[in-house]
Amino acid sequence: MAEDLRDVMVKGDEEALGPHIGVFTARSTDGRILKVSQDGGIVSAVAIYGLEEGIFDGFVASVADPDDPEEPWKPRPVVITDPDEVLEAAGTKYTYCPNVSALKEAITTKACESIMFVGTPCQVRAVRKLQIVPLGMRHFPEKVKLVMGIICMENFPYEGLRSIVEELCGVWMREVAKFDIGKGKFWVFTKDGDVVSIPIDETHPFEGEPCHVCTDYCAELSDITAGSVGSPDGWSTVIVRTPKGLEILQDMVDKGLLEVKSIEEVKPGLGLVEKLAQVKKNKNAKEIEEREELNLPRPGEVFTKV
Amino acid sequence: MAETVELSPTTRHEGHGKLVLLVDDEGYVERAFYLNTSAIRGFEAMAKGRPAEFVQVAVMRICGICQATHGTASAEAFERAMGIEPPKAGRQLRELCALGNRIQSHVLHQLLVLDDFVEDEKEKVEAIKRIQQIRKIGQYVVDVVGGEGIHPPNIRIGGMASNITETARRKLYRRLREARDLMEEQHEFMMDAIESYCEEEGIDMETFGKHDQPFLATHPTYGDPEKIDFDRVVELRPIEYYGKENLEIALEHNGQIPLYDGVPVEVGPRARYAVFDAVDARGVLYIHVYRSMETLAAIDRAMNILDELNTSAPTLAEWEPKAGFGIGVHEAPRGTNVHMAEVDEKGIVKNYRIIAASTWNFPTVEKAIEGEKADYAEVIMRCYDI
Repeated sequence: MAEDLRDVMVKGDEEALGPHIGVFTARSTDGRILKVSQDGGIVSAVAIYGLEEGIFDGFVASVADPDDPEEPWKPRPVVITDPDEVLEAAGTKYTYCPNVSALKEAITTKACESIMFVGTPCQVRAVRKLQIVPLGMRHFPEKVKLVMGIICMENFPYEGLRSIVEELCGVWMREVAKFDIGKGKFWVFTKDGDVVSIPIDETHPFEGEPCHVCTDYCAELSDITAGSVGSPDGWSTVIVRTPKGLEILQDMVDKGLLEVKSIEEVKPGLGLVEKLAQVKKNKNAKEIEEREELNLPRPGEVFTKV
Repeated sequence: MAETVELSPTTRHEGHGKLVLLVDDEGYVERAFYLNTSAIRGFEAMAKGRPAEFVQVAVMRICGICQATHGTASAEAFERAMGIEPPKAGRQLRELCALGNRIQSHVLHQLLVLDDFVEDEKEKVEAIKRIQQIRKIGQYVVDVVGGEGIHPPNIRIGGMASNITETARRKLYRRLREARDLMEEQHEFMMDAIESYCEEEGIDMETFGKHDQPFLATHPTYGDPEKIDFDRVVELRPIEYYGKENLEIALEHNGQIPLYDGVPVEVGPRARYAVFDAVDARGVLYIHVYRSMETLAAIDRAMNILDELNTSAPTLAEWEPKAGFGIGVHEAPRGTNVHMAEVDEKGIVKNYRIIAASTWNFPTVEKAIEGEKADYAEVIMRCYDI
């Protein structure tokens, strides 16, 4: 008998995590996904399930080619319509990728009717804004069926990431097999099996400037948020925010596609997510205040100031 | 003694116009002036000195109803000027995009003329619903193929920016089949409406609004500059065409008046049927009949293209700027749309000329109205979808 997610979920601090129904920890039961996924493979599992069940006919995500002749590991946005292609997009790319730009292609030349979108908190916000004011995006709002967000503290421009990897870690970009951030460190795993890490503090100078005014850690406007923080290695913390998100996840659990646990049973637990979310909010709120003193606009309120 | 009647603005058509009629004692029009009162926007002047890529996108903004045709005619003009050959799939998609546009524009016009022919409110509502459903499908084609329902950005110099997916092709085909059924119903409805209108008004459809002007058309569904001899085209300023004695009227006409062999010609659905199917129905209400038939034909042609299309073929040719002059012609819903471009070796526009589809028909409308009762002037004008 599959578990009822409502029994497994716990509620966290809404101030830090944003509105939600509940939080739990999970991982995909599909070995193929876990082999290539960043953590628990939640996003890939949802995308494959949705495309196979016909809930979605398009999945907007990013794909990076580690062997690109010009710019290895530079991600580009894609519209995936075939469940077999989802795994190409698995894994986190620690650099900007304009996922929102692919939405237009999804609804026009790819003729998608129900789209699943995955992106960083800022991209999730952009999609929600577009759903309210679909300027230049006619017929778009009703075609986005599920928005998944990933937990994000900050991001690096491509050249910044390259500098971190090649200069600070001393690893050639073409050698990289996987990136990760965790336990206060930035990790690079090479194709030859080496593991290099540097303290996360050293990467701060390479962060994108806009990330310093963002107070959204957990993609608060998504249907479902997923991220590694709070869960053990190989598992993901999942924040369910909408009934639609819950329905999809529950059906996946019923079908045996997800293995779930209460987040209270695992270390480091929900407390860490809440703590880091609050850290981001406080730190960047200060940055916003400083900018206001310089008469710069508050992010998101550009148009309300006269 | 003739009386002057002014209808300003004329209503229920796409553009802006004014009718000035000289009416005799029995109410018949002796002389008609149909004036284009749209503001002058100066696209031709704006194009000068700018890159070809910009101009091709900019000229789509000439019209919000049939933008695909301006984008296509402009791309064709630049391609001929610089010797660019778009790939087959690019050409097919371009035609398909413009056909979607033709479907929605043609039925939109049926919506505008509805009040001329139908009185029953219920029937009107039914027709409007049907028309909007068909328009939605036409716009869906432009949306998917052109990348945007209004001002489709996929139309480019060199072809189309991207191909459509196999799924998109299936969806388009299915939607077009729906449109076919709806349009058949709409066609019957229009035919009945026009027939009963003629009966009620005591109009002879064969002679009503008849004129003897020649017809001009270049292609049933796309456009072909080879079919026009540009040495025989002149564009007159209104004052030249109307003469000094009608100076005040001429000054109100914004734009030039194109003539073929020195006389006004008719372009549009009936002209295309006259040139390519040798029909010779001179009554002006026949334009509605042919417009309706052409919508059905456009749906069929669109499905044909979808059937032939290779969705994995390239759609955009690579090109280098080159000096030259080219003419691009596309059969817009309203008629033969002509763009002429001269570019220098860097691809910068030196000279740009446009004869938009509707401009051909302005003087022809006058000929159709002359000799009929003034009461029918607007009904005749509306046959032309200007």
